[in-house]
Amino acid sequence: MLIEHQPYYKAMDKEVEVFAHCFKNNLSVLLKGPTGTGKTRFVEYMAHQLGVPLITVACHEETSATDLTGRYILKGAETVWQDGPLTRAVREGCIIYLDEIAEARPDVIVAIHSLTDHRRQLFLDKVPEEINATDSFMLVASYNPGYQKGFKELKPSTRQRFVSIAFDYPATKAEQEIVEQESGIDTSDSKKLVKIASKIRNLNELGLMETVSTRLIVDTAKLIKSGLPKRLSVEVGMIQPLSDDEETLTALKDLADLMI
Amino acid sequence: MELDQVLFKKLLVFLKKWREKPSKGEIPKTIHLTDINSRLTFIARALTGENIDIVAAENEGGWKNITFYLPSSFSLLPSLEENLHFYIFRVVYLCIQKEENLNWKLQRANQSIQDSRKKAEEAAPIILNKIALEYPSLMEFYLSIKPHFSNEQNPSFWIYGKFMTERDVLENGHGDFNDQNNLKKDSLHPSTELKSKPVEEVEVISVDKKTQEDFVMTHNFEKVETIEEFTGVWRGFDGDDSLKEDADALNEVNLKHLVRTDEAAHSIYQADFRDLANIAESADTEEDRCVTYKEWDFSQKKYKSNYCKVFLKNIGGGSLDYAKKCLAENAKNLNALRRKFAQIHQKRRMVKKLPDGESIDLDSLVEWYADLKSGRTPSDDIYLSKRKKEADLAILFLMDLSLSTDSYADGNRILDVEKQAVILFGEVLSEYDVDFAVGGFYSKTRNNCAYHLLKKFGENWESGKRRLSVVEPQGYTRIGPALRHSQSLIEQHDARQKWIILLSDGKPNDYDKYEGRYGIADVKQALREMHERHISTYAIAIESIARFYLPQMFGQNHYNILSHPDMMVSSLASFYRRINFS
Repeated sequence: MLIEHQPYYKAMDKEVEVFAHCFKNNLSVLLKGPTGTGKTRFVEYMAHQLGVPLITVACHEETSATDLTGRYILKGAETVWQDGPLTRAVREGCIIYLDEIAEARPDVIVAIHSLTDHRRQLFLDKVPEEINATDSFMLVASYNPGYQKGFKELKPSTRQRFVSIAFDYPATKAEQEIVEQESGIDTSDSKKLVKIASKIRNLNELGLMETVSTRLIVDTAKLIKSGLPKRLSVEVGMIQPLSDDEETLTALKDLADLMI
Repeated sequence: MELDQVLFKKLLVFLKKWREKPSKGEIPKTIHLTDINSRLTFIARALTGENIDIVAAENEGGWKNITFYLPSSFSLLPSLEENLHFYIFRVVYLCIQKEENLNWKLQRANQSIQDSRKKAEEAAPIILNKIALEYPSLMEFYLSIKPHFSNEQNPSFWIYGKFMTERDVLENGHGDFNDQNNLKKDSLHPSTELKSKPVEEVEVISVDKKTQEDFVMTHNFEKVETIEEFTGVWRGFDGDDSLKEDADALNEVNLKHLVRTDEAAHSIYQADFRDLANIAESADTEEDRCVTYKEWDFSQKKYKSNYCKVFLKNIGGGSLDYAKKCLAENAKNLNALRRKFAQIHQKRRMVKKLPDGESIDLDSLVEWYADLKSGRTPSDDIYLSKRKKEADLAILFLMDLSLSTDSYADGNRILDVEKQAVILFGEVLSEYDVDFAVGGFYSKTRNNCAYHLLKKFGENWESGKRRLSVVEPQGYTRIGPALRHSQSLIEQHDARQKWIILLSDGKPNDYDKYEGRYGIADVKQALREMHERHISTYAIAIESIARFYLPQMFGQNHYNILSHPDMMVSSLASFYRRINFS
């Protein structure tokens, strides 16, 4: 689908230029970084800037090549081929965004191989048909190296096929600005929220599965903006999502209460 | 003791108890550091970004390196809530004090406690300014409690603490005795353990043999047993167990000086510099069942039947704290292991008749069509897909509990590393629903081989973790009978793949000839018996001495020697990958 309104995105580095040049040169892009650092938002922003429709597929551990390329379905007494999102993107010249590609089954990686090199072709073995990608087709994938729920890593041979852009939590100042922009809360509050987040990020060693992402801060800020008490907002927006352990939660709450 | 001494002691103990008993109103407002330690540690680590430990102080406390000292309990403020808040305030205060690096800079021989307190109070405005700026709510709290600490009874050092010196003699572990072997030789176990009052600074004094020899006999005429603080007089050392009687006296001693001796300890007065110890509860032994096993005599090339008696011991008690602590300390390793496991558990098998899948299943499609033609409602489940495969696997961990595991490799006690390995691996296995058991063994000749079944197959892992916390090193390492008993246990399991994993220091020995070639040959024979029954084996050893024994017994690629406990995760994972794919 075509992105009509320009999404808010604050460039951290030269990622916008890098992406534009990759698009021009038909190169595939891999966005890597922890969850909630703006990878998806960046792709939407770029699709809008370039004026190309965007198809997003959120990969999970049962996502197979069939889900992307297409399958036969039954229609009356006949079997009919139905294109999957990847095939559609190749035919129509869209940006396809495979979110969390490392989560998907290995055959997905095999399916996209021929699209990520000079051939730019998709081979549908079941039809069988060979489709050449239109010029504006671009493959973008995201991948979270430290993502501890899936515990999966991308093979080096796959990674070599992508230009990689690293995402991380923005610096304090920039993160504050993003929080203010996205939620509309005032500077003193955004400052506090970002500070709590940075302190919690110190606790990685304690075995927290995930830490506070920019997205969590923005969500919390939105709750505060719409009138929920601050401490409650922080608790439900930033702390509860991180852990289920009673002790950890109490300590995190103590920590947050100190600062807001 | 004479009668009058006994009476005097009884009276003293009574008086002391009576004096210590708090008045009724006091109980509910006291906060004990031990109850909230983990909570405070969390805050300190988050605020500083360093691995801060929090331990009890002698009095008001302060900070030193990455250790925060806080009062062991606090009740000076009127309510429980406020006393709890006081601790949080102190932690934040110390975090900022540390950030500003406000402490004694140089080692000075005789800074008095008054100096240290004065210095701390002088530094307070800098810290309070920062608190006001960054934690306004905490500043309000400070202002509200400040009036409480202005009189003689509640002096202000409770708020500001004291300056401490960066020097820390015992920073690298408190268990370094001069001679490990000397301790190992003695098979007697400490039978009494007590915990000391907190100490913040310890001075190690080297033993002055000369003066000890010249020691002039002195008699101390006192009515109760006493223990002296070090006053410069050298006495003879002995290792008799008299700790229980000395308990009261010990609590009065200030443990400021420390001597290391080679004598084996018969009682332990626990005076850890850091609060890391975990006292195991003593094991109850119920009536033990006994099984006999054969043993292989390599020189005769035949079995000695019914040669070894294996006693099956039951352990009760134990708490989950040990495992919890172990899991918390190894949170990072545990996550790494989980990640590796997830990778391994990617194997799939074909599943038919699904409502949705990669391709159409022809058989189901034919049925579907036939149903349609014959006027019946066909099932829409006509796809096939590859789904994840469950492991058909049973694992038995066999832990060496002999005394040699009481020794240290790289500063880690071998038995603790074994326990850690089993706890981490067990945790992940139980998450993945793989059935496993844990056994432990030690021996004192062929007539007395002990086998603890710490976790049975199919049993709840929680109870296994409890029992694991209790086992302590004892006896020798007669591996053969332990392996044979493990085999009899795992044989009853109906999994397709069966594995026995031996965790030990790798050297078979017992004091009735079970050594050298004899021992190795018996273990080899036991392994051969298992392989005939399609039970696979693997050995993991922590000490380098194993390099000489494991290859002989287990053969190439069937063992792993960890030169450092940190290698455990990768080694366990690579092993697991192998068994899952074999």
